[in-house]
Amino acid sequence: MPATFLEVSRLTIMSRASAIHAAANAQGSLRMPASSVDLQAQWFAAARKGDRVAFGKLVQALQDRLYNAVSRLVNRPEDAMDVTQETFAKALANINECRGDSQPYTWMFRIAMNVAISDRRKQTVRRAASLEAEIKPRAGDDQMSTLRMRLAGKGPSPFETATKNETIERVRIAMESLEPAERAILVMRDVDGMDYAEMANALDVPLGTLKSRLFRARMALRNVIEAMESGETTVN
Amino acid sequence: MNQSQEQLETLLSDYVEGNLAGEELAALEKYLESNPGLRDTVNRMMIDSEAIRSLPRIAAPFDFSEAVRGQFERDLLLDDAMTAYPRRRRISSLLASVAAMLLLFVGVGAMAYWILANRPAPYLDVAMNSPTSHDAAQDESQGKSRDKLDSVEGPPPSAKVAPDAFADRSPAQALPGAGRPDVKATDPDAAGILSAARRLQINAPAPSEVKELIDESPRYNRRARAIVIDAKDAAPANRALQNFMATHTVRTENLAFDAARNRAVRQGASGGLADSTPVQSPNLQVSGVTSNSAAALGAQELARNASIQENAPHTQVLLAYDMTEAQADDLQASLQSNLAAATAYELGVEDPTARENDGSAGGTGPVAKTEAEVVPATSTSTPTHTAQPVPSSQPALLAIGDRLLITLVDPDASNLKTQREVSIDSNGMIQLPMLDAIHAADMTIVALRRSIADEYVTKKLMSQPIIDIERPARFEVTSSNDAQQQAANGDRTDLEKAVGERDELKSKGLVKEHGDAGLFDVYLIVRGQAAPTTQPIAPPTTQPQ
Repeated sequence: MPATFLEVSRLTIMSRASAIHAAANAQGSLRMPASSVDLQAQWFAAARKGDRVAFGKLVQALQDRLYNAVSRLVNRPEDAMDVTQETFAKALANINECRGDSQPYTWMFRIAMNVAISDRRKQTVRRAASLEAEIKPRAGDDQMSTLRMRLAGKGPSPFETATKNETIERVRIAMESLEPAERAILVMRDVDGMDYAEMANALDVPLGTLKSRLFRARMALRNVIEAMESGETTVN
Repeated sequence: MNQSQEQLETLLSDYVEGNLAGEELAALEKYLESNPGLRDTVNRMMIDSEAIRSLPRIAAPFDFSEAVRGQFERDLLLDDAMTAYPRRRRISSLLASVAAMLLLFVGVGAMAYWILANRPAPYLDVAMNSPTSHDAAQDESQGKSRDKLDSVEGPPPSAKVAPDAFADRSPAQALPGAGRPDVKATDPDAAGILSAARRLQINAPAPSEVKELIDESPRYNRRARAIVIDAKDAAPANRALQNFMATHTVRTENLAFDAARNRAVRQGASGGLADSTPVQSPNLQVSGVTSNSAAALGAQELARNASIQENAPHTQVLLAYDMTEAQADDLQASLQSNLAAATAYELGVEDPTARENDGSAGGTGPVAKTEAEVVPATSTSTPTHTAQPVPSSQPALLAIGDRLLITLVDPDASNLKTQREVSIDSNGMIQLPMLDAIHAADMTIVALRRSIADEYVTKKLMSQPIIDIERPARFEVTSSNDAQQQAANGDRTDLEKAVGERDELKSKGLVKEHGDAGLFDVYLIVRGQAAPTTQPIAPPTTQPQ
């Protein structure tokens, strides 16, 4: 590809990525404007002192965002409901263990991540020979055959989304095959729009390590997608 | 993993996210040039990332709050009952049964208490607002005052309530108009809108969250689209709507909210504070849509909330039904064009068409904030020339230096979408992958779109490419005054924010890209100043294009 195309491609995608991330990083303005963040901090502080009304407000304010993120961390809608619910319950039960430098949402996301991973482990044990086990990442051909079935509409789709765009659908399915930690970091960045500081706080890692992990997660996703595409070609 | 490996991954991660610049970027690109496989992979990562961002957002189920509350209650009960048993998981089945019975007993009691006391439970009382529990209580408590004030013109007497009165009330109480008993029975889709609006009031988030709540309501059976436009001047958006309505047949309602009414709401007034007036346009079909429909009520809630939260003097909502994808695209194009013109006008550029079309220049027209001169980036040869915004009714021609965002969708390749941002070079040409240079200068966007599509088909690269071209507005400020420069930059940022927000909507899948057009609603929320406050959008005086 000529250099000009590379340049064009880079500019285009960077521009788009920057715009999206600017919007997402301004996150703020999208989901939690400064006033909302302050308000949530107040509710959180009150909740730590035992004010359950304040905690209820916090739940109401965060539930949609958290539920959306959790929906991309787990494979079944009912799991999203359970995990989100359990997250709030754990948050309430352990509210005094939250570090002072964490935002309420970041802290709750971390809880949700752990609950989702724990939940997934339980499911893996329960359904070792089930579909869930088959789509474990890098498990070999069996995984791909399951994914092909899903793409062909022969298998159950955990989340029936509105979109029919196959590219998006392919990515969504591929994400289900990622390791929980890889999946979580992609959810944090691309689904939830967290900035690096929030992510580093949630994962408790330095910035460089965070970026490295993010890249490896993207690479893992790419590997799964390419395996899926390769499988499709074989089928056809 | 060694240090250099992690450093490389960090750099590549930054590259994928578009965070690199300068020497780092140049060095990495050079490295990628020598590693084409890796370069291809990171480019595909960018597409993956965008696809993830495009995943539809999933809102919590409507009964989620109730479920959480139930769990808290159960936990409280169990905590009390199991004080002597630190490990709850070892609870015996007998004790679990007792706890369940206790829970049932307490639950029934709480429900009875709730109904009798006509107020929410002791905790989460503000937070919880399920649609099923909302209507009766709110209608009962507010129906009379709302009916009374519905007939009041202008700020109602209660507008004299102390300013902080609003803050002391729950939003649901302070913002009446919701909860009409016939809502759910008449229009289930619209009931979803109304429910979303109610939740919005409770949450009191930023208006930009409006679109998410609308779009992701699980009660929605059809697509929704929300376009939020924050413009300093609402008139250009109105002109865009005029143009749109003059050439399209769409069932719509236009809801306008003026400053006085919004101020009254902020000051604690209760009552019907929103106008709902069908737009007067020869091409409009408003049959079956009344201002009392649930959808209209929902839209009122959204608009009112947007106004109040932002303290905006004017908010306007266009409620459209069964708008096709093409119609929505036309509307967006018209909006973009008009907002670009508005930005120039805000910067002090005379725009006669704005005053003519606005019809409200006397005191309500856009205000020239600075004397800074702006010129379109395409007019670099005459830097002191004062820009004349392109009238929205005339197709704008592309010019040398214009930057275009070109989206290419290949239906034969699973609707694979790629985007390129290109500039029209000094020869009036643009470069696209796999194609020879294409002439773009002095062409309309529609003509260029056709030309690009023909090229791909002629070269047998695609059989039926779908091309979309956007031209972000660019202005160069020539004033040397720092303050003016700052103001101008601020305006430009606003414009880019508006356009970017639309892109954000696209990225979230709110702007549809699929083939099932015709079954979604459109909410256009315009917030700005100096728009007609008492009259709806006027019929267009001329037929554009």
